[in-house]
Amino acid sequence: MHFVPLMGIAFPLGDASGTSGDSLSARYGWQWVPLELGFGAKVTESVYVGAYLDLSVGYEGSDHVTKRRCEAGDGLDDDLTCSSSSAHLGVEARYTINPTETFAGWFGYGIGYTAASQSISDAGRYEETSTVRGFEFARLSLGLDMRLSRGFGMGPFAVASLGRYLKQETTINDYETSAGSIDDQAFHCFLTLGYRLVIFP
Amino acid sequence: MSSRLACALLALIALGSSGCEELEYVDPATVELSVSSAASGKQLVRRCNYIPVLLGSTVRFSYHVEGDMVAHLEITRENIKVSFEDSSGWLGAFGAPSSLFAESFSLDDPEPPPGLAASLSSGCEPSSDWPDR
Repeated sequence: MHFVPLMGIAFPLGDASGTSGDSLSARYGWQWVPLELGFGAKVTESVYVGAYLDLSVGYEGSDHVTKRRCEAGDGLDDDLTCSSSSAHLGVEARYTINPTETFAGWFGYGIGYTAASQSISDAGRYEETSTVRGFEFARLSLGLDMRLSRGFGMGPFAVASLGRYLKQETTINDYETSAGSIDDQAFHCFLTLGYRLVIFP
Repeated sequence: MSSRLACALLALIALGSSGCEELEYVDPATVELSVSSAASGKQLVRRCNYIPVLLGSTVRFSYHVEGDMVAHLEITRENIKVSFEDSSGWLGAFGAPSSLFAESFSLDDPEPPPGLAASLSSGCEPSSDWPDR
């Protein structure tokens, strides 16, 4: 089992769709990953297999049209809020190079489901949310664990989550205005850097 | 001097408080689809919708026009497109970049289905029970 509390930052790279200007960073700002959960077991001394779930939140992306609207509010007498979030869920395998050493390097591969959402809300007068869902075909990870005791470790890690969004939906004022496949799909990546705590590494 | 200053402050406060009630920072543009009979002028479809503000957002509705004819409306931040369809197939389409509707703008369908007139225009007010399908 491993946790990543309060120590991960994910950077959006690539494109959300094939539409011109629709890059991942235009939709979503960098994401704070407050929590990553992994549950699994060691198949051998070096090989871990398990499931992962991480949720992250952030501000709006760099798209200037959205940004201009988001920055129009003063944050005091209006309730204008802009936010983005992302989620990754799947299974992964990790190989630890030197499992009996104090400093243990590892790398991994995973596959799963991914989703991301951006929203803008104006004091309940207008709310719009755009959500995409898709397939994470490669979650490439590596890190270095420092074993402080037999059951506890910590260390830096990096994860590149490569995926493709397949479905999108839009809601305006809580009404779903569209849902369906993305015609012009593209590849994207969330690059996460962080520091994790590991229980029973 | 002090009375002028007091008046100016009062005016500023009044202006500020009245403005706060009406402030709408997102302020999405809107577009109205209107379809009517070319002969009688009878309104067959008249719907006001928001133009989404986020990248990737889409508004998509289909409205019954008459008989088995349906008007399909698709609005993204980039484009607005209207297409007509009945049991015989597609009857035509028209549209324009969404950015045009941020200002006062109107567009007539240059080749509407026979017997109809259709247009898109900016600046409508969505109903309180939007989308009111």
